[in-house]
Amino acid sequence: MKQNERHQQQEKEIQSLLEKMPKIKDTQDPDLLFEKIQTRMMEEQEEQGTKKFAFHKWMNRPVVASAAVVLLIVILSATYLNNQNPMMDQANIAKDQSLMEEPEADMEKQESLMERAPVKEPDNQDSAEFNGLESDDNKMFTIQDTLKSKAVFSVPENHIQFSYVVPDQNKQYLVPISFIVPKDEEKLNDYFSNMNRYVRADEWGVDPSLFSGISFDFALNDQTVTVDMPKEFNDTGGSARESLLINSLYQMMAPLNIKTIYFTTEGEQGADFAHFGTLTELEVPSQQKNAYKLYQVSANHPVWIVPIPADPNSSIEEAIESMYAGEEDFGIRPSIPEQISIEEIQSDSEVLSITFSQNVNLMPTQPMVYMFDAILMTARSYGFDDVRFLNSNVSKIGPYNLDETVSVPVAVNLMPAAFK
Amino acid sequence: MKDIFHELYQKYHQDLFQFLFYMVKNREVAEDLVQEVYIKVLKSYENFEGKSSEKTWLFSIARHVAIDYFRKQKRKKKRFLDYFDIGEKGYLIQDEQPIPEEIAVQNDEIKEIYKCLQRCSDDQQSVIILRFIQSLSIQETAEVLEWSVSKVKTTQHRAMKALKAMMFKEEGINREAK
Repeated sequence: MKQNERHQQQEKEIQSLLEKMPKIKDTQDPDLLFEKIQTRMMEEQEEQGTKKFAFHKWMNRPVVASAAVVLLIVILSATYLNNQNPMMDQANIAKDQSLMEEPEADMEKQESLMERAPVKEPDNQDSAEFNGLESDDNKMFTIQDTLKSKAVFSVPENHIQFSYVVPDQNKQYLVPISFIVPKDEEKLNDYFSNMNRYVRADEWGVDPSLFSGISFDFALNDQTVTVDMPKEFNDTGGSARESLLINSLYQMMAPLNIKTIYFTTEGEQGADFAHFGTLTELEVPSQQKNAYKLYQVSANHPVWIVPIPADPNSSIEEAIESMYAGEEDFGIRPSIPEQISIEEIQSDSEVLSITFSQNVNLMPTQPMVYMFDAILMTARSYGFDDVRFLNSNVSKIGPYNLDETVSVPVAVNLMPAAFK
Repeated sequence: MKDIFHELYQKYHQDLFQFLFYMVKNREVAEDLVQEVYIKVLKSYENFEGKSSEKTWLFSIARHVAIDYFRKQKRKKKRFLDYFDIGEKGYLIQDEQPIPEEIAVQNDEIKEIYKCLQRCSDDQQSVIILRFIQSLSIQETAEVLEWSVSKVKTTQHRAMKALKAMMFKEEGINREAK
């Protein structure tokens, strides 16, 4: 009896210890996690697509086809005789279910902005799906639903879109990272003056240290900003650092409709730059030509669509041509895959027409969406308002309806606003 | 789809992550596997029939993902052993993982029970983690593991017995050493 009591006591002790095991928390950002999941889903999809193609090729051979029929009969009989476990079916369904179902076109959905905008309308379709109340028309997840554009197409009323334009880890290029927040000048001063605090440098693969000690004072109605520099700015880095800063300022201020940047140094008028000399003010150029490419530090970092400065005298054709090439040394990847061949590029005042080659094979994949984001942003930087895509083999890639003229976005690399 | 992800994330993410962490005993692996879980869940969400609760369905998928991972690891280990011609002496190579930081900072008793749990069979570990670390009921644990209630009870009983033997034996050794 005593021994039994001792055993029970020991069991209680063990149970109590197990219950005291530490709570383990995942600290990953949910949006970044979702992005990783999407990327993996895309990769799996592409893999399946390749396998499917290879399978069809084999099945064209008569001997293989006959053997496959026999094998199929055997498998089907075995399956019929087997008593399947319904839970296993659910857990394994992802392996069997093809997402290559004909996508239900959802043309009206401008997901990229509205899903991430701080004041969004409830997405009735998704919440209905979650509650299991979906109609037959909307019940399927399709590959198209998982594809997200990084572009910003419009900004809700009383909101403002701004971008941090921060150097990549190699300090070679600038990465614009965009947000939509309620319009509030004071807060905007805070967001810009405390960039180092708000930018998640390691997680995003960027380096905002350039902005250490720089503070911003916006006068949005006057279309001006005062940039106060720390005295020690000139102590480190050379002209490349200055160029990055000025370029970044231009790119950050243009979307906010700022025309003039005033410089002060710790409150005193003017700022000394080793290369530019003393600057008191700078006019923000109305247009800067860029070819947009992809930048990603590693598979665990987000993909960014980055502007690679182009010659001011270059043509849009030259810019698009350059988008087939990356710069491996700096982690810059091409935004247009080699196999996507473009036959003709025509510009008609503010509309750019891009004609794909006859045999083009546009697939609903995330890199394809990024390609369209990059082309549209490039077109914007060359002064186009709309782009028409001709000769594409599909009508829709993610949010882009290729049967219609597509308007250029206002910004790219939209991130959820998480400012407190 | 993003809405579904966020809803599931809010409701279950930390529980799922913790479960995976205790199953695989490594934060980085758990971070990777949790993505795998969501991929499977999002792809098959529409086919969720509601026969079990959403929570046990998710844990069931997480467990399958962890088991797949163990299988892959075993295959890798076998290839490694074959390559170096260690073959049958493979059992001499310890399977035990280093103690994760989260556990290493705990008191000795917690560290000890963690180590003992590692030495239980995979099934026993699953039951113990679900029952006492995740606080699932016997019925819920049975749903996650796709077992009968009585099998859960038996496995739990055996696991507790094994843990008792390891814990109190080690304690005995420690006391003797002192």
